[in-house]
This record gives sequence, C-alpha cells and structure tokens, in this order.
Amino acid sequence: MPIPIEAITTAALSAALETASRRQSAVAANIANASTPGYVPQQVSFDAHLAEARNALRDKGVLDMAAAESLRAQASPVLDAGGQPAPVQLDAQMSELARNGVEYQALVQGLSRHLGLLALAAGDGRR
Amino acid sequence: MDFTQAFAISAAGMSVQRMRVEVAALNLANAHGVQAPGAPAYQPLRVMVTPSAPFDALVASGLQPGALPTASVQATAAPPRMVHDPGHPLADARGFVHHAAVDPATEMVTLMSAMRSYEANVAAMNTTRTLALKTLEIGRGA
Amino acid sequence: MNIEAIQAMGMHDEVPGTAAAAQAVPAGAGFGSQVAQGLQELNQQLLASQVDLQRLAAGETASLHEVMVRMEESRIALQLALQVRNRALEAYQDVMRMQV
Repeated sequence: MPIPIEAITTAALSAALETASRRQSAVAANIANASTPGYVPQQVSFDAHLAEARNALRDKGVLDMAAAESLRAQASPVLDAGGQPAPVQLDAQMSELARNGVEYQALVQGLSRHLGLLALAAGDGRR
Repeated sequence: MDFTQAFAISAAGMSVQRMRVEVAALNLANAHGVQAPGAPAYQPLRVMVTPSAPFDALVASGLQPGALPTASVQATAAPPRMVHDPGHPLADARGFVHHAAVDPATEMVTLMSAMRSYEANVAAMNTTRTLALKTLEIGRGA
Repeated sequence: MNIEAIQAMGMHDEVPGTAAAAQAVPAGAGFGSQVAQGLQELNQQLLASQVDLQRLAAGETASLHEVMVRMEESRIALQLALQVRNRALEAYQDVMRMQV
C-alpha cells in the first residue's frame, strides 16, 4: 500500500523542523564563541541538502518518503579557502538567526495546521 | 513574499556597511603615518560598492537573486600630504615629510554614514521579519 | 453605499484557487454527481495544500501568504463538507425514525 501523502507531509515538516532547530543551535554557539580563539564555526547547510527534495518536487510534483527524510541536515564546520576555521561574522550570524527563527515558526504553524486538518477529518467535524 | 531572499538582501547590505566601517577605521589608524621618500606609501583605501548587474537587466529579471550589492576595496591614488619639517629624520631633499593622504574628516563622515545605513538595513530586516510572522497568523483563532 | 468601490476591492483577490468550490453545475445533473464533483474539488484543494506544505518544508518560501490562505480555505471547505454530511445523516436518521 503506498504511503499516504499526509504522512509524507508530516515527515517532511518534521525533518525540516529538526534541521532548523540544529541550525539555531549552531548559530547560537557561533555567536557565543565569536571571540574565542581557535573556535571553528559550525553551520547547517541551507541549500546543499535540498537538491533531492527540490528535484522530486520539480519532476513529480510531490515528495516521496525518501526525499522527505533527506530534508534532515547535519552541522558541519565552516572553513575558509585555506582549510582554516573561518572567522565568525557577527552580523551574518544575527541575520541567519532571524531568518531561521522565522522559518522555524513557519514550519511549526504549517505542521500544527496540517495536524489540525487531520484531526478535523478524523473527528467527523465534532470535537 | 520570499522572506529568505529579503533576509539575504538585508544581510548583504549590512556586510557592505561593515566593510566601509572597517576600511574607515583602518584609514584612521594609519592617518598619521609617515614614510621615507621613495618608499611605497600608505594609500588610503576606499570601498567600491557596485550593483552586480546593470539596472535595466535587474529590472528585466524581476529583481531576482543577483541584485545584491558587491563591495570591493581599492586603494586611492592620492598624493601624500607634504609637511615642511627640515629637521625630521625622514624629510626629503627639500625638507618636506610625506604623510599618508588620509583625511580624518572624510573618514569620520564615512563612519557616521555607514552606521546610519547599517541601522537602516537592520530596520528593513526587522520589518521583513514582522511581516513574515504576521503572515503566519492568517487564519489563527478561527 | 458605493457599489463600484466595493466591487473594485474584489479586483485585488490575486490568490489562485479561490473559485474552486463555486463552479456552476450544468442544469439537470443529478444530486449524486453534484456531490461527487464537490468532493473531487475538495480533494484537489486538500492535495494542493499538502504539496504547498511540502514545498515549504523544502525551503521554497516564495509565497508564504498564498500557502497560508490556501490552507485556511481548504480547512473551511473541509469543515463545510463535514457539516453537510452531518446534516444529511441527521435528516436520514430523522426519516428512518418516523413511524409509518
């Protein structure tokens, strides 16, 4: 039996939420350690891991379960051209913090409304 | 409204203003440097901010990503400031000492203008964030 | 009341998918086919919302307001369909309870 689209959507939103949460931790750690000597800034990639999901959306119009799971991303160190830890750019980190916060809230809103719709259907319109 | 792109635009603006501040601070730090005649002088640096594409191309593409400003640091070709001081160890044959051609007043004005522009970029980013959060409230409370 | 001004406000409805539930049914179509068509449109709306959410998860945030509006519309459409079903069920049970 094929996986219903609602389950795939839930999995995709949860994976994206986990990525946004990891990104928030990485940026907060970078800001806290901005002046620590020898600190290697962490980042959670923003676009690189989305290729599989975006291709699936472009080609098939919907995600499958594998593409939904691929939305999870890990933290990786930020190195400059010479392989040394890149310096922490505070304004870039702050703007990333703001952007990621908005993305996190958007994903939470989307997930809660999605589950609310399912609960509405499951409850026959009666609470 | 693509809030991701809007945040990237404001972040690029802030980076440019931060570079202007750094360059102005570097110029001010070297403001009173002197050099021996014939030695390479400290040339005041300047930040050149250019759009990434001609304006009509940007408008034709609908201001897609690529409209971000790009900044590069260049050295100005200003001649050194001459100060008549024959007793100075680094004075040249005519008794003039070469000072770096940094104008502190210009650098201070650059600092103030960069700070105001930075604040403006921060205000733009905060507005974008508020709009996006308000958008998420569509249908809440129903 | 200025009718032209109020009508002009409707020209700013740029969100697509708003008229999905208001299609005219050709005269003479049976009630069953009307219900089936309505359910099909509701299903399409809900599927479009699911795809919107998946695009949001994949980082395509091009039109957040459209996503939110479409989601709210599909939720209201689902609620309407459920209410219609509940009323129809109650009416059927009322009829069955009638003593002949």
